[in-house]
This record gives sequence, structure tokens and C-alpha cells, in this order.
Amino acid sequence: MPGGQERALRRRIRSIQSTKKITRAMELIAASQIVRSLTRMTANRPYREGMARIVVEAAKGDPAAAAKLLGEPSERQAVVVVSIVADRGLAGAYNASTLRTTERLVAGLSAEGIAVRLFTVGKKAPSYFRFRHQEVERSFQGMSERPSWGDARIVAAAVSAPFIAGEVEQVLLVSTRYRSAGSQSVEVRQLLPLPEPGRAGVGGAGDAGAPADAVAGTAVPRASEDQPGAHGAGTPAGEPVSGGYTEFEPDVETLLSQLAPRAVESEIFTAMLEGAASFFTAQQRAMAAASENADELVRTLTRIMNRARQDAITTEIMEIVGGAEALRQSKGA
Amino acid sequence: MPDGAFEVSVLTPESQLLHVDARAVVLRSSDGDLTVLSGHTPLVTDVVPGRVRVDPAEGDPVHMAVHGGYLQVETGLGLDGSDGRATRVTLLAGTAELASQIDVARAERARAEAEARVEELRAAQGRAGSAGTGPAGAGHAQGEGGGATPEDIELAEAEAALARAKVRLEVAGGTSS
Repeated sequence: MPGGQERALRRRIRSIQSTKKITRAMELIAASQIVRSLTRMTANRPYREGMARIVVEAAKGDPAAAAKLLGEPSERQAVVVVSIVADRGLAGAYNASTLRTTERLVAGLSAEGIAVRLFTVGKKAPSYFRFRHQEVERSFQGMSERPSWGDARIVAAAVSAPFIAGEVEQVLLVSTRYRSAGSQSVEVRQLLPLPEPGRAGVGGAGDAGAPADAVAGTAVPRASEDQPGAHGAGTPAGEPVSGGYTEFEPDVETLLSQLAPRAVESEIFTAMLEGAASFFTAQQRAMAAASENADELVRTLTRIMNRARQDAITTEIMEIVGGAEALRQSKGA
Repeated sequence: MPDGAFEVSVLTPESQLLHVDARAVVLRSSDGDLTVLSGHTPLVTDVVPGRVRVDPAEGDPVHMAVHGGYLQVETGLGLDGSDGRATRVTLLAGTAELASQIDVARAERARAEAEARVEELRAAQGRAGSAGTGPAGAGHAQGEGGGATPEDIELAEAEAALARAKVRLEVAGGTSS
């Protein structure tokens, strides 16, 4: 029946338009959250760099003591893997790519006969792993979007505990690094033992290396150097030549064993902040694409609807003309 | 930079609390009280919770409540961008606040609350031993690998909150007089 199709199309267009309103609003909200997350990342940087410097200094003070807490573990029987994702979706591949990297890492470690204890941050992680029958030892939720220092400490305490107790030889972190507005990528890093100073800290052998699939479809390395590459515990640029040796109070070994948990807290906090920034960036991009797609759908559907209406009108005219003709003929006969 | 002054930064994970040219930093480490002046020997030390005073090159001393942290003193060439010897002091603290920013009424309330909580938890622990269940903190724990029970953690947190409130009151009280 003509007209019915037109009405159905009109309804669909309206529904798409209201969806577009939502995606547009989410895009704008994400954009404002990016700014907030970036501000927090910038505020965190001096602390992180200061922490890296202090650990380097302490490690230089007593290499023997440092050897226990720094560098690569010689042998791994059990490791802790920490995966940081978001509580919410609608952010493109943000959650999926981190979770996929985590899954691959876990599978690789298990294949080597290494026991894996998995810790996750973000609501999206437990459901993903439950579906794949991967046990999650502990999950944290409700802190991904605006991580606080207190949140980071809770997570850090939980993931360091097995290492401190000597149950695992290594703690690995999988999270999304925020390099610049155009480029975020998933990275596997070693939290404990603390990465060797000056090294990027990509931990674990084999498949764990090399930044895994980039989240950004358009990873254009922009010239804007708003996020210098100095990530993590790498020695900050322009390290001064300290005049002579450094004193330590209390002794280096005690100090290092206290510093290590602080350094892990700092790393996790940074990772959570970068994760939040990456999440909102991914969400903004996803929602922008969705809004654009909605526009296109509306355009196409409008065209189909107009044609349907035109067809209906033509059919009606034909019927009228046909009817009039039939009447005239029957009269004349 | 004036003579005898050096760069001091007080950093927390959330912000840079202070960044000034100072003449002296007075604090307490686990080994005792400590004053850092320009040209101090390179040092890494812990900072016990309490008051930290920074005497800026210009202006009044700045008092801070620092809830535990670490201090690094670097003395060497070219630290301030010039060719000469310079000293740089970095204080890292998980939580710290300027005395002028402390809300005494709020700290007082927090202290009373924390005190009550500690009492309550201690009493509960004495009664029930280590039995019982209770949600603690964010997230949920499943199969905790031995060690601290949720009650222990809660008690430790309450005690830490109490200690923080006490430090705040002490520091805030000292500057108002």
C-alpha cells in the first residue's frame, strides 16, 4: 500500500536523528573530558619523573641491593598481569584492543608453563574474561574515568602483594599509553621488579614486546609534542652529573624496599590517567564517526522516502486517470 | 636566583604543591630532624608524616602537612641551567597540603570520625576475632591469597586517616598562632 512505506521510512529517520543527538552529545562530553584528563596527566608528570630520579639515585647507591628489585627476573614460574580498561564501552576499539593484548599475553605465558594471576581495572574486563574462561583473581571497578590517587594505591597494593610475598617473580601491566592526541597504543610494561633505569620498561620475553595494535586508526604522528616520549621510569632528559656520592637515610636497602611500592603506585596512577585520557579520545572519535554515519543514513533514507512518495503520487495519478478514462468510455458506449 | 637560594619542588601525584627558590627546608626523617641548605650533600631520605617548613628566598616561611614521603637533594653542576654548582630539592609525597589550605574544622571532624571508627573496629576485632565478612574498599576481592583480612585493612585505613587528621591539626594549629 503506498504511503505505508513512506511512514515507516519517516519513523526510521526520526529514530536515527535522535540517536545522532545522543552520539553528538557524547562526543562533546568526551571532548571536554579529554581536556580534564590531560590536565591531570600534566599535573602528575613532575611527580612521576621525580620518583624515577629518586629510584635511579637509590639504585646507583647500592647496586647489590638494587639487583633484587630492579631488572629482569632470571626465572619466572608465576607472574601477575594487570590489565587496565574502562568501565564503559562506546569507545571504539579502546577496551577491545587492551583486552585482546592481555589475552594474548596470558596465553603466551601459559604456553611457557608460567602460572598467571590476572588482576583487572575496569568493568569491561571481568565479563570479557569470564566469557573466555580466564579466571580473574581480583577486579576493580568504578575508578577508570576519574582515577584518584587513592584508587591507584588500592590497586598497587593488591598487585604488589604477591610479588612482595615472593609468590610471583614478575608483575606486568597492560594498558593504553597516551602518546598524543592522534596516537594511543596498547603497551605491556614491567612493574616489578622495577624496570632497569634508562630502559623503556617493556617487560616480558617474546610476544610481550613491541607496542601491540594501535587503537588509533589514524595514527598520524603529529608534530605537536604535547606528550614527550619519556614514558615511565626512563631517566629524564638532562640528568645532571651529581657531585660525588649520595647519602641515604635510612640505608639504601631499606629505602629501596620502601620506594619500590611507591614507584609502582606512581606507575599505576600514571597508567590509569593515561588510560582515562585514551578512553575519552577513543570515545570522542567513535562518537564523531557515529554522528557522521547517522547523517549519511538520514540522507540516504530521505532520498528513498522521497522516491517512495513520488511513486505513490504517480500511482495515484495513474489510477485516477485510468478511472476517468474508463468512466468516459463507458458513458460514450 | 639569589645567593644561598636553591630550587625546591614539593610534588604530589595530583599536583605540584610548591615550586620556589628557597633558603632552607626543615623536615623530619626517620633518622631525626633535618635542615637542608644550599650546597647540602646529595641525599635521599624518607620523610615522616608531620610538618615541613620551606623558607623561601623572599616572603614568609611556608608550612606544609606532609603525610609521609621522600626527599631527594641533588647538588651538582648545571642543575639550574647555569654552569655553577647548584642544589635542587625534590620532595615527593603521596598526600601533602599547605598549612594555609587546611580546613581546621574539617580536619577536626575527620579526626573525631576516624577516632570513633578505630575504636569501633578495634572493639569488633576483639570480639569476633578474624571471623565475619564485610565489604571493604572499592572493588571486590575473591580468594585473597592469605594475609590481611578486610577488617585488618579497614582498621589500618582508619588508623591512617586518624594519623593524617592529627598531622593536619598539628600543622594548621602551629601557624595560626
